[in-house]
Amino acid sequence: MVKKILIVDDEPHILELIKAVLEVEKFEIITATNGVEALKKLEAVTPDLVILDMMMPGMSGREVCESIRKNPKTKNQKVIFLTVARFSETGKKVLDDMKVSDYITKPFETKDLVTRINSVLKSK
Amino acid sequence: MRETYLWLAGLAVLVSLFLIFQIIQRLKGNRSLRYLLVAAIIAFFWQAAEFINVLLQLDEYAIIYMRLEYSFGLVMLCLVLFFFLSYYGRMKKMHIVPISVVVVALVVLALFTDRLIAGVFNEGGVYIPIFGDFFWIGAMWYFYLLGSIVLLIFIRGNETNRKEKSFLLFGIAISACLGMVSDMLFPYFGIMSVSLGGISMVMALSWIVVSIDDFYFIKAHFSRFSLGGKVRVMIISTAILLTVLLVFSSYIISKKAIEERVLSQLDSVSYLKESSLNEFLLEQINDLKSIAGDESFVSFYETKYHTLSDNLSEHAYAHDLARKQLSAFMEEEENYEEVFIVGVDGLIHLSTSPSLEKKNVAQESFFIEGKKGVYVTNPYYSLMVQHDTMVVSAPMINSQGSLISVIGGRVDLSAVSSLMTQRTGLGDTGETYLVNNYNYMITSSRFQEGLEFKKAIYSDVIKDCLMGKDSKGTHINYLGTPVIGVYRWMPQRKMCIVSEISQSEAFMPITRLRNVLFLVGSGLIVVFFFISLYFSRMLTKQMNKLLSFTESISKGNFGETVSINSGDEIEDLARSFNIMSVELKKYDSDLKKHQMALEKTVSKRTNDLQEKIGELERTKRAIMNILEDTNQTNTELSKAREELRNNIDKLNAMNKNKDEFISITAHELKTPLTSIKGFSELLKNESVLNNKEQRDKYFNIIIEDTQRLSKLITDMLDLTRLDLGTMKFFFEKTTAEEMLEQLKNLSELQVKAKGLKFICKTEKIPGFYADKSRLTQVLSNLVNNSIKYTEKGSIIVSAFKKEDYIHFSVVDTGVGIPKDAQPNLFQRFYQADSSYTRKVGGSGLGLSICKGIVEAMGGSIWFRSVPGNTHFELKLKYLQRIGKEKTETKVI
Repeated sequence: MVKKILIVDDEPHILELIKAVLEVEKFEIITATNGVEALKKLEAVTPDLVILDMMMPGMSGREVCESIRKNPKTKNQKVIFLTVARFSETGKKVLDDMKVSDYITKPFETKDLVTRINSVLKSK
Repeated sequence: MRETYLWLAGLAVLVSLFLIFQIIQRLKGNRSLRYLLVAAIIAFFWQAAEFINVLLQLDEYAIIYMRLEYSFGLVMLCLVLFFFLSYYGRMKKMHIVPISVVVVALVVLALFTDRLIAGVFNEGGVYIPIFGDFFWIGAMWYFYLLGSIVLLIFIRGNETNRKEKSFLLFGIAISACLGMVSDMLFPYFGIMSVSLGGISMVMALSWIVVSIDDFYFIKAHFSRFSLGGKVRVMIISTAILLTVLLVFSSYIISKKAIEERVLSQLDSVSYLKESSLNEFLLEQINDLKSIAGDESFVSFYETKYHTLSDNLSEHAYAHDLARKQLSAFMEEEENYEEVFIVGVDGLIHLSTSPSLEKKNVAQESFFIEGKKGVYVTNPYYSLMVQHDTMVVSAPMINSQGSLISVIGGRVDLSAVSSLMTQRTGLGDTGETYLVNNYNYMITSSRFQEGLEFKKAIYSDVIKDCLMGKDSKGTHINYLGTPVIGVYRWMPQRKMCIVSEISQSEAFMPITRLRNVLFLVGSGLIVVFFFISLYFSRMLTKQMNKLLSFTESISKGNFGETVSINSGDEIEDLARSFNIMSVELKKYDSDLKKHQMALEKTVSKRTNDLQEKIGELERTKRAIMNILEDTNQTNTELSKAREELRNNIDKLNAMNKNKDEFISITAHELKTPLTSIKGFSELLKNESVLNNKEQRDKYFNIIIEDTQRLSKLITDMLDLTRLDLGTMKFFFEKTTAEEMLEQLKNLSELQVKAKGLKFICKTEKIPGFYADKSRLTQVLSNLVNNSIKYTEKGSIIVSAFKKEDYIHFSVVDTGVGIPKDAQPNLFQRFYQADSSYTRKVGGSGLGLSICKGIVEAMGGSIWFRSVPGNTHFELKLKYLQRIGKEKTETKVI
């Protein structure tokens, strides 16, 4: 079965890149360029994974994730964060609290991206 | 016996009332509940009294109870109306209608019960119940109770205060006064005043109990009276109590004595009347007997009347003769109104009233009994003669001893009446009259004409008397007057002889006694008042003496003494005070000696101390000087510390800004880097490389992001230079026209692509010195922004000189800057609308760099913006000449 992935990033080039990489791996890709759009799409579709950029104008990635957890329909949604910085211990704790499956630091290796996504999708 | 029962019942009622009021008093907080309970208790005891009344057949009191209820109803009605009126102003409109209905219903009810009660007293003042049942009385009471509950519920809504209470007491007092006035005006209603008084007492009592808190208030007040006040109150209250007791007991005892005297007097009068009546009748009998025993008349009557009966004329002659003889006899005996002879056949043969001859009287008692011997009928109403009469009869017997006829005589009753109404020791209102066994008065009244055989008298004493029981005592007579009387049965006459005298006359001496007692009592109270004044003054005089003495001692006048020779505890007290005073004086003088010694020592020590203090003072001054210097240093230090703290705060804020800046910068740098890296990796893939479309797209993205990265790095280098103050400026001569021309050329392509107008305006400004490339960088940044945010219209760039400055302005007709974004516009990485920025590109550092450059060159930059008109303007110092290359350093 083809896995569905929603990618949320305000940078069109990053969206383009991840889409290109993942399409090679035969994933079905949905994109959103801001938090509001992402939440609206989540109302209609239930993807297997959401890749969420942390630094976005308007709603930040963290705020989007909190909204996802608040909605009973999407509260168990698997989420991977895209970020530029490594997290400190307290930062990681916040990620755990938000039940984030994993985080990927920019810039990333395309292989690494695919590996992480696959492992998250396999996990329960 | 009855009275004993009544007293016992009254005592029980009082004790129970006291106990129950005690319970009620503990029901604090719920005033209306207390009222209701009081009402219910009164109702209960009322009914209990009725019950006792019925049980013991206290008939006389029964009347009083009826009246009580009647007047109680009136009082309740008055109270309801009273409250209605006093609350009228304060009532809500919605209350008026139901309360009016209740009041009207009560009035109707009262009228109805009034009718009921009024009907039960007949003209003789004798109580005859219409319904003959206490049920109605009870029902009436419950109606009143219902009314009072309504009243109390109403009161509850308006929590009664002291003023209203006094209103109510006022109402009670008014009703008591009404009762007294009615007593004076209508003696018949005397009972009513008694009952009103009773009601007032009961109500006042219950009111006192429910407002027992006020009672405590009075008690507390009393305990705060002065000594003299207490003595006065005690003496006067004792005096009043004793006087009242004395007056009442002597009043009651004398009343009893007078009642007995009057009764014995009445008794003797009634005996006298009875014997004179008997005497009178005996006289009549003797008269009649004298005719019946007159032999000549008897023989004449027998021979002439009987033998000549066949000769009519002779018979008539004899008849006339006999009548003449009878008439002559009757005239002699003036108390007869008719004398007649009845034959053995029962017909009247001969009468002084010819119209009555030939009438048959065979069935009359005087004929039947008269045949046997002398007989006297009771007074009775005769149908034959059409008026009341009394007949004496005797047999007529001839010489042979056989009965030939019966002779009868009608006695003139007015003679009997006058006998009875004769005043013999009965005063103004006393009278004697006879009552036959049909309850009719048969002799005339002294006070009212024509009552004989018309006035039936129903009262218990008469009833008893007619049943053969003699009695004496007080009752209400046929005129409705309260009287005291003697009622005796005359067995031979079968009549009751009544002798009575009105109470007001009988008790006249007691009234006088009462008045005297009242006067004496009042006098006694006045005397006691003065005595109390004297005693209290005596007591307080000595107390005041003692008081002023102790006050003087407390002021320090020891050794003084006070002389009180009252011979009581106060004198003892004064004596011990005197001893105390003398002792105090002794102590005082000892103390003074001691004090003087002490003072000497102290003054010496004080001098020593003074010297030491002087020394210390000098040392202190020296230390003070040192301290002052230290203080100054201290303030300087703290100032410096404060400055340091401010700097640290500033640094902290800057640090925070720096962290944020670094994080944003990292994001801005890493985003294109990620895309360049990722796409490059993808291009390593053969299939991607062979797909021309994909390959071109990816290469373009890589080129775009490389450009973005290089622009970002240039901008950041500029910013860093500006921050560090290491940016170099190269001033060379130029003109406004030259600057604008260069700007136009730079933006020509973009302007054309969007179809905008580009207008340059400039005055004639002499040449000036400026860093041409930096100024162009700033201006082209502004123009680029304008182009980005303007879809149609024009961009106007102008240059002008104002005072010592040269101004450049860039105005566009674009969307404008949102109001909330305006204050942050010059901040780094700030973009008015991020989603829009993506479309138009740019790093968010441009305006920040512009501001930095302009300010580094010693100028300033500002803007104003509304949708459709955005105006950026900068000014720089107008430099006409410059000696050498100039470098300015400035920290933003």
